[in-house]
Amino acid sequence: MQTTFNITYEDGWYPVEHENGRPFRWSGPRARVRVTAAAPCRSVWLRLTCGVWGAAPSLPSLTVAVNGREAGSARVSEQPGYLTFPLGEGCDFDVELQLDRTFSAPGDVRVLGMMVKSLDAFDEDALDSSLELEGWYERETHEYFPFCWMGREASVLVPALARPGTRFLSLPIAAETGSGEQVLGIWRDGRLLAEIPLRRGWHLYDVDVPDEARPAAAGEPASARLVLRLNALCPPEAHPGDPRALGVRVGPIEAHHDPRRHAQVTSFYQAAQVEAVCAAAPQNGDEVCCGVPAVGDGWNGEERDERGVFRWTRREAVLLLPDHVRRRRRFCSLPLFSAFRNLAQQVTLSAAGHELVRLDLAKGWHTYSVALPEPGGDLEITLRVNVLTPASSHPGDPRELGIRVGAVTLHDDERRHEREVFLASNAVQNQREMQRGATVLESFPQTLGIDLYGRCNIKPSCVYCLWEPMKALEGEAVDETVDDRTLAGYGGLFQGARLLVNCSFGEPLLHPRLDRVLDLAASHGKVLELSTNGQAFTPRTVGLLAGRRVHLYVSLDAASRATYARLRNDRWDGVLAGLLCLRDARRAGGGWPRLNMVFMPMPVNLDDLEAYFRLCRMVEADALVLRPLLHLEHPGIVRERGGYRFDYERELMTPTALEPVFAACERYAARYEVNVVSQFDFGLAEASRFRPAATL
Amino acid sequence: MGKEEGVSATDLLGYPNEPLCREPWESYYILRRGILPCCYGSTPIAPMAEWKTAWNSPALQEIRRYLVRGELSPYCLSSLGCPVVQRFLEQRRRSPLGALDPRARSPLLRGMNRLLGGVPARLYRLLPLRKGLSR
Repeated sequence: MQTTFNITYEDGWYPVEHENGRPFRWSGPRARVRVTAAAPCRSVWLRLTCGVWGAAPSLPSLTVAVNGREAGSARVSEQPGYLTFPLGEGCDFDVELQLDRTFSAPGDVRVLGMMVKSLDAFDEDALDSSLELEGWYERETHEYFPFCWMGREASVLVPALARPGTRFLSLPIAAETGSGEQVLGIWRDGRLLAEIPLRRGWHLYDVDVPDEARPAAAGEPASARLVLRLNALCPPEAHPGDPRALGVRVGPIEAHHDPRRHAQVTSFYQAAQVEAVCAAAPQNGDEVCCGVPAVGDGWNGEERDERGVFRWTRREAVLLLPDHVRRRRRFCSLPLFSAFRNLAQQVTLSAAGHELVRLDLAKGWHTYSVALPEPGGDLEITLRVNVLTPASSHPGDPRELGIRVGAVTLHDDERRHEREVFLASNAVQNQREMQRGATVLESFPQTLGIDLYGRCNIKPSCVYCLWEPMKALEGEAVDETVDDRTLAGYGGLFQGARLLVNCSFGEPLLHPRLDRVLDLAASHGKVLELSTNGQAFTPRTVGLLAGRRVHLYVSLDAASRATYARLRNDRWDGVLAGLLCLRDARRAGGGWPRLNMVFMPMPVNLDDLEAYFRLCRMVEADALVLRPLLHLEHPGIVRERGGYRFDYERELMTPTALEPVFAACERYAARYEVNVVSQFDFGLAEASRFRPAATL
Repeated sequence: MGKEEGVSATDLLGYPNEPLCREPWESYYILRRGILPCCYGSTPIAPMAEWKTAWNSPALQEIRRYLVRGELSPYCLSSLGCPVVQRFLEQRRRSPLGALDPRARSPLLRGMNRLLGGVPARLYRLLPLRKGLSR
């Protein structure tokens, strides 16, 4: 529990002023404060957030005396940063702050020393996180990790490091430079503990504190003070408009003693593995992606939806396929979106006055494959819709809207063409049968639920998981093998589905033939939807997923170690490191796999909601998915975990209780620029405050 | 969405022609625990091995038939994890007669239903009040 200190500003201070609503005060050349605590403390630290704001001609040096004895001195920085001094043992400290130079601002008759934004005292024994001492700029809290920028060198107090059994240091760090350009040295008691080549963006680093770096002799006080030194500052062009000398952003530094956590986090940062991840993004040399149509008449501007970038056509639009791009490829894959759910919209494609094909358009996004006319040469394809999207469906948007067109691909693969034709015609037939009210269907489902793997790596299972009853229900099929060969054996059910949704009670990334399953889905143009607990992310699985047309749903429901422990276990840091590695792999893989971060609002995790949005932004998630906790009547599930009693029935939230949660989600979605997808209105054809569940 | 010449955009786009829920047409789940018509299905309609025939099985046909009529089948009504079903039950709870529904989550009604062996809930299903989940 934190010790409460009473801090009194005594003589030598000017009155409080405000900047952007935050109070500060200037000191004169000498100022005093009194720091008192209710009970004596072994080791107290005083931290000033101070600077001279570029107003002083030269930077003053601050000397601090405590109860008449000098406690240290340091140079005051231009921009507000931390200066920390040891006050020592006791509960009553008379602190004198003395500056070696003063200045006066134009038009201000005061003799100014330094500007102090805050002054805080800390009891070292009561600290539950690291304490930045010197060399840091003010803490910022708008990202997932609360962080401080450090300059070239900074010191930090990590009290847990001095405790017996502690062996590892965990550091969240964000560098603005590329791999290894900045190297961070970590020093303790004059010894170098580690040198870390830093990677761009936020990453978790976990450092083994070697035995020889721990206190040698029994009885010797263990130092909890670390010095961090960078070989280079962040280039000024990486932070334009910010005059500070910035190194890297550093989040809360922690000490721990969990070798498994250390191994998990570290595994993601071995250079060779990371390169393998990036190299794993599959390439297809037979096709050429022309992107969304950029030239030709009849197109509205470029937009983006949950599927990606697209353009709306007007009633008629012209698609230009120059010969040097086409290179005699025979087929054109066109992702088209129709808002009509009754098959009333058609598009006719024609070239040189001849109709190539007339397509009935199923609702939503579908890929339609068109055989291009022989021979090659520059080609102008006119797309003309029979009916426009009703203006009343896009109020406030006066444009003439036909259909959406995504990135066009040219290829020469006849089997792919046949598969895409079959998929689209099945979708149309399926929709037609549904509209007709048919109960016996000739079409196949567009979504096929599959059960890839029946084992899970989280034991005991997540607190809300229905693991035991589901495994009992699986009965003799519990050990049934489901892999690429099984899926291919489903015949039309597999061929007709454009989306494969894994619904196993088990972790699909553990599947021994995951690579083959991914290959099969890719070779058949399927989108694979995998729900994962995130604990099976390894450099290997992330490498397998990179660049694949997979929609990942990562079930976390927590944005902190404590909440995660209440729902699952203590593997939070490994999950976080895996998500950051996945972020990099997705960048290399053209944004694939898509990343959906699932959050089931429950009383146990509501305090994490805002942090979850920050987390989604940090890992560059495509969407935050709000999913209801499965409604069960009299679930009778009560589990103690992570110091929390999880009572399933109590965690089920009523619509009324959810209303403020949705309102908060709307605010956070705007603040953190995170897309929110709601699965609360599953299956209902109605307007939603968030996007409906993703359409392909 | 607005209206165009007296016809709403949802009408023009074909929403009214859709069944109450599209899942049993568009989706099919072949799982170790059995075949499900949607991911919220409470109990399997067939064992996994019958994946080939269950797609047009009588059980799935019945589910579709109810949905085409704008109703929820007994199977759907027993799938309480489904948000569509929850929405329906919520509407029932808010309607004057819905208060009679023993599946409404009043502890008193639930207790009475349990004491009477679940008979009130079964009788309630026979009432013609279940129709018409508003969209």
